Amino acid sequence: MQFCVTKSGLEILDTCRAYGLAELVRALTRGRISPTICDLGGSFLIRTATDIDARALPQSDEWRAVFAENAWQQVFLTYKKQWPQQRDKVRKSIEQCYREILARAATGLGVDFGGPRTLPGALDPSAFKGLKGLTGGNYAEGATLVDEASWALACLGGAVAQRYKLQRAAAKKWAYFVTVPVPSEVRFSDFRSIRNLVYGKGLSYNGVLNAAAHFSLLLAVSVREKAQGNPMFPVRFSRVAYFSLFQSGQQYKPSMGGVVDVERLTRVALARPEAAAEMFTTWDYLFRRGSTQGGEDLAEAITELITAPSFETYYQHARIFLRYIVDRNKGVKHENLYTKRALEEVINYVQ
Amino acid sequence: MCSNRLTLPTAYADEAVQAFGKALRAAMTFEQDYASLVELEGAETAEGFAAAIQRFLRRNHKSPSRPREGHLERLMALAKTTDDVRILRAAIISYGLTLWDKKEEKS
Repeated sequence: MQFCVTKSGLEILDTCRAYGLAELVRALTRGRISPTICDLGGSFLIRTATDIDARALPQSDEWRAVFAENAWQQVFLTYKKQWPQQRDKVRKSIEQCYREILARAATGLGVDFGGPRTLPGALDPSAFKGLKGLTGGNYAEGATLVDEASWALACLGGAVAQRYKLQRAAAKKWAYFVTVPVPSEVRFSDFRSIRNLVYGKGLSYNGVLNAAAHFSLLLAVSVREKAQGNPMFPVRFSRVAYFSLFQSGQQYKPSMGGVVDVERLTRVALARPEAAAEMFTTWDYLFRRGSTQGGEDLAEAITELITAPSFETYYQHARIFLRYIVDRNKGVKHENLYTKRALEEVINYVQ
Repeated sequence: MCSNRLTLPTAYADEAVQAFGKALRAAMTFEQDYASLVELEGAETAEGFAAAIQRFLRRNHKSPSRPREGHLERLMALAKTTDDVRILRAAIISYGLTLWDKKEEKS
């Protein structure tokens, strides 16, 4: 069977809707069938090898387990203590109309902006409203409204696929660094096992781009581990979308966001796994070292190298790393240096 | 013309660059010769690069890992434009980032 999620242009919303629909299909088959998510450019295709039984949802253990995920509170962060009610609304909404969702998805499930539901800001930064009250210029901007099915699927996908990293920020405040991998071609069961490998790991980051770059690296590391040397392994992510939420008064607000291209990283991980493993080991060390006090320049250099690979970013990274290596007080251990093969891979990577 | 353009992978694989990269690595590790690194990084033109290399060789003329004359000629032949210099200095310092056997290098 095939289902289609038509893209609306809001990348994080669309990605979360695709993950949400894949999770729904998995729950309907009680985890026996794992759908594959494919990015077709204008839409996401969710494909299963066999037909699915659309009667089984409310009794499914897999379905109940989805609502025990930890990320629900973060998806409804702006609702504060009201988040469980919102989570239950998502569950009720999908349980009531999942047949209709599947029927619509068979031909292409689009988003109706202007529907009855408010998109939660912590799901997608584009959903945050502008100003609450009227100003001198009489300017106000409302929340992003969407239809019931898109809202429910996006919230479900957000809880399943988004990684929320809580981080202490300046002035005793907190910030969330949110990342979500955009699938190019991914079997949902592989995504779930990669999520178990990656989402629990994290460091003290210098910024959201640093967090997104490390997340991209961990993603490539886990894809390499899962592939076990198979260059045709069907797990490919094209991008990692990210944004940050900072505490402003009593409320969280979006700060900055963007996308990191991870196609090149995954390609190296699958095509040359041995060299990639050695390269990733050194890069992971640089992130870990960069997360400590005084190592911020290392973190910044490796972040730039991964997010914008070029000769300039490589040279900057090489200069800074070399200073740490030659300075005995900085104490870079021998095993954290590049191997000959790994450095050649890095040089080809930036070319 | 485009096919003759020096790239980072070709520069890194070049024998002369390898000799200078290893010599710089040894000089920084055993002699704490950071001045050569700073001067090399500061070289922007082919003339500046040649001067930085000349001073590096003078400082380390007794080093066992000193590059041969043929390596010097080859390196200078590669450094034609400012782009070549940028690539060459990146390729040379890259040798400092890799695993190496210090005992073997010293002997």
